[in-house]
Amino acid sequence: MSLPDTARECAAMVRDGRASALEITGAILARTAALDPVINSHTAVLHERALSEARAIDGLRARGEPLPPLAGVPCTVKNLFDLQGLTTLAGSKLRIGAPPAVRDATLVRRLHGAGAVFTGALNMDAYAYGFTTENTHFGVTRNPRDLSCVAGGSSGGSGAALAAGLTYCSLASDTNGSIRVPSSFCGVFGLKPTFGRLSRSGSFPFVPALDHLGPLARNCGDLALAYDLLQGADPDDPACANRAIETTVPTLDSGVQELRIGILEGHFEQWADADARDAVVRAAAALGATDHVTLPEAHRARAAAFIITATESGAFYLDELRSRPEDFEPLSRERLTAGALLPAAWYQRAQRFRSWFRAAAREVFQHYDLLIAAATPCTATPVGAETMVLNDTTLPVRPNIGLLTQPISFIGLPVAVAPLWTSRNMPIGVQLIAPPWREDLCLRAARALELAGLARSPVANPSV
Amino acid sequence: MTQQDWEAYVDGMAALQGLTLDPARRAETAVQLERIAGMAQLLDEFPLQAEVEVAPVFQP
Repeated sequence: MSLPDTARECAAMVRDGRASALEITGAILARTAALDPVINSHTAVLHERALSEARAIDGLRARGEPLPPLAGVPCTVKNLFDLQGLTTLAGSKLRIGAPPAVRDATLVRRLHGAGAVFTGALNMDAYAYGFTTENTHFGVTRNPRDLSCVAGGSSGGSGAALAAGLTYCSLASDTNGSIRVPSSFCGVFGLKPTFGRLSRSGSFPFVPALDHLGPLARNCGDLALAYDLLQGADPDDPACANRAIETTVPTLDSGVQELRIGILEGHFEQWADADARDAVVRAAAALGATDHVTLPEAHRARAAAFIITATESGAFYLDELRSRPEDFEPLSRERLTAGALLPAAWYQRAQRFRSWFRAAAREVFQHYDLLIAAATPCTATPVGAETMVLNDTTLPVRPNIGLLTQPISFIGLPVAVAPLWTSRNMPIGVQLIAPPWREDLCLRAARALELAGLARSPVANPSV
Repeated sequence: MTQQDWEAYVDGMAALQGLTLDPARRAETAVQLERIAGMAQLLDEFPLQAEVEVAPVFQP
């Protein structure tokens, strides 16, 4: 069968009887078997689980029962989400042999309840500490838009599986940019919601002060629908806000006419190359934005996020750094080690600066409803690249791909990434940044760019 | 701080934390520490008023 373009069309086909959930799931599993040996987006293909979930959906229909909104839609998760019966790897060789999860993560349960079929657990940078998904143990995930390039990270499996048409929606995490970077590099839509919006219960932690979870998809309608289904308070995650569900689907097509939109300058221009700046210019023009805005001290925000990340993750892995250092990812082991040795005063200062920067952002949002910046400094970098040149400065690639995302997640602002395309037909994402709890505005702006034909995420068909 | 100073810091702190580092790990850890120290400097030089407090459970 030929697979439909969207998750919503998938569910409609199952509902109308044009395809069974089993047929759709089978087609996704076959496509995964054909393409993933080269792309390496999956660390586990969940044949049994997926077929069983698909049969259950087909059973509902056969009995004439109402079908949920994602009935029969194949979905995937970054391998730091608990899937019952599977060991949660978090990209880490250290986790091999750990006991399997006893139940699904909260967000997995919510999508399952909405009819989703889970077909895979996806590759990521070890521990989520990286922006390239060059995982030494589980292999590099290749970018379906250009197989010589990385998929971005740390949720590279999610970006690559979507770009290659191996899934319709993927759950991922974003601590410093891990949803937004692969969305940009792989040319898909991603949403990093407000810190505390979505429950992290049943996901493997990295930096509890900064960890967010969210969805990626190939179009705004699917992204907004998945996000709405994922919302809801959860006492199992103490950082999950006790807020009512605020749906975004009903206003998705409202446009941005009345919104005050600013283009972030300073740090966000300085660390963007010509492709990234051009994408911002085109997005701004399409959204009617002309004002240039400074988010003050963004470079210090990035530094503070880096210190909090190093400290919390280094402390978390200290026992294993002592006992089995040889099993660590070589690309991040010494960053973790250094993190375990930092003065506590640095961490505390970074946390206090977080409050200062939050206040500064609140002031900016007195005057603007939405801010635009590039999601990555450049398009996808080559596999194995050690350095990149940004505006005449040579920088190490791996720690610096998040230069534009880190200041934003540092204070938990909601961001949608919409993929634009360069003249070389490579994707690059723009961040659409809203005040806290206004994911609806991020998604409306992304949808406006999609309707304008600027942002799109066609399925790639890499020759393998 | 020189590279030697950083390696001395790594030696002391690693001993305190019970970490045994071979020469390559020791040197690379010092490089990482120096990079992070540059970021800490950015924060140290930025004045914060006493009333700027951390948010124990961060709510944007």
